[in-house]
Amino acid sequence: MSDPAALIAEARTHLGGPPGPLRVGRDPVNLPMIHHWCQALDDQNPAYLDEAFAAGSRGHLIAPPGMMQTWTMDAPRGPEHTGSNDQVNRLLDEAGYTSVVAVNYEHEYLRELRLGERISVRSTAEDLSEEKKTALGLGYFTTVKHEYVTDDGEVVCIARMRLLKFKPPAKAPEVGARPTPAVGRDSKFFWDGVEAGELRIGTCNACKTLHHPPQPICRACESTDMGWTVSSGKGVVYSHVTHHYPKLPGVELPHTVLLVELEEGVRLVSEWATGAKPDQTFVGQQVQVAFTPVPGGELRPTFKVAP
Amino acid sequence: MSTAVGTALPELTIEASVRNIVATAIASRDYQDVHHDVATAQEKGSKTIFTNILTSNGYVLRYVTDHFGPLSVIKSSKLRLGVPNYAGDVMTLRGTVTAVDGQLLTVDVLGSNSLGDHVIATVTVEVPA
Repeated sequence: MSDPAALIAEARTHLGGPPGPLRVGRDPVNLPMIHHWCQALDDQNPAYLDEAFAAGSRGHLIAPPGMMQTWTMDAPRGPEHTGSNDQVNRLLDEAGYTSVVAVNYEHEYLRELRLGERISVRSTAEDLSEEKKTALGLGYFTTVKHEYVTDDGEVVCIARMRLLKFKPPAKAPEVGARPTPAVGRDSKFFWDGVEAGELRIGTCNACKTLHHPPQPICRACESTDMGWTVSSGKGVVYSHVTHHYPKLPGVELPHTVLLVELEEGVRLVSEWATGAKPDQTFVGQQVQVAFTPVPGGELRPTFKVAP
Repeated sequence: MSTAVGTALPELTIEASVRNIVATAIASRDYQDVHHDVATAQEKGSKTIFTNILTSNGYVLRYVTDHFGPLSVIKSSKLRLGVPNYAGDVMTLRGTVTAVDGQLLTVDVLGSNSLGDHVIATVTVEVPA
C-alpha cells in the first residue's frame, strides 16, 4: 500500500474536478414506478396518482420529490469511472478507509418532475475533511454534489451527500482457548499451587535442591523423595523472545515469551500478565509473579513488572 | 390551516416491519443487501436489516405534504442521519414550523425510534396562498 498521506493528498487534487460521464436513468419518470413507491410508503398524495385531481390543479401528474435519486439509482455505469468522486473514493479505499456510512442527505428541488422526463445525474467530489476520530473509527468526511438534469440539460435538482469513509476498527482476532495443561503425578503440586495462588517449586527433600519444571528424581542426589517449596515470585527477566508465527491456540500474536530467573535460583518459561505487558521487555527487568487468566479463562503463573 | 411559526404537525408513526423495509428499498431501486437480507446485514455488523436513506427522505417529505396538502410544493430537504431504523422498530415523526417567509415555510422534522434520533430534517415547502 502506498503512503496514506500521499493518497489523501492526491484525493484532494480531484476536489471540484470534472464529474465524469453522465449517468443516464434507465427509464424515464413513469407511473408504474411512482405507483410502486406510493404503495410502499403509503403516500396517498393525489398529485402523484390521481389524474382527475391533477387535471384540476397543476394540469398534470408529478413525481414524488423523494424519488429523485430513484430515477438514476441503477443507471448503467461504464467500466471506467473517471469522475472526481470516483477518484476520491478509490484513493480513500486504497488508503485503508474502506467502510462508508452516509451522514447527510440534502436536496434542493428546483422544480417538480413530470411523467416522461428522462433524468440523468453527474457527480462531483466537493469536499474532503481532515482525518476525524469518530465512534465508528478514524475517517474522512466527503461531500459529493449530484446534479440531476433532463435530456435538455436543465438542472432540476441539486443534491449533496456527506459520507464518512472510515477504517473499520481492527477486530481482536479469535485466538480460542489455551490448551489445558497435562497434569501428572509429578507436576500436580505445581498446578494445585497455581489454583492456590502460590508459585511452588519442586524441591528435593533429601538435599534441598530446587528443580523446575517438576521432575520425579533429584538431579543432584538421585533421591526420589521430592517435595516443593513456595517461591517469593520475585525474579528478573533472564531472556525473552517474541513469537510471531505460527498461530497457536489461545495465544495472541505477537506474543512475548519470558524466561524468568526466580530469586531462589531456578528459571521458568512464562509470559506477561494479561493487560500488564510493558512497553519494553529487557534482560534484567525486575518482575513479580501474578496469577492471571489466559484465553479460555484458566489461570497461569504470569509476570508483571515489579513495583 | 395554521402556518404560523411554532405550529406542530400531528405525529406520524411508521412501523418498520421487514415487509416495509424491503418494499420501500425495492420501490426506490435500492438493492443493497443490508435492506433486504437479514443474514448479510448481521454479518456486516448490523442488528438486522434497516430502512434505506431514500425511504427516510421519502417519509419526511410525505409527512410534510400529508399535512400541507397536495398543492404544497417541496423546495428542499436537509437530512442529518443518526441511529439506524431497524426492522421491528417503530419510527415516530414529529414536526414544527420554524420559519415563515410568505408562502415558503421551514419545517423541522425529527424521526425517532427506540434507539434515538434516526433522522433530523429541515424541509422547506411552498404552500398555496
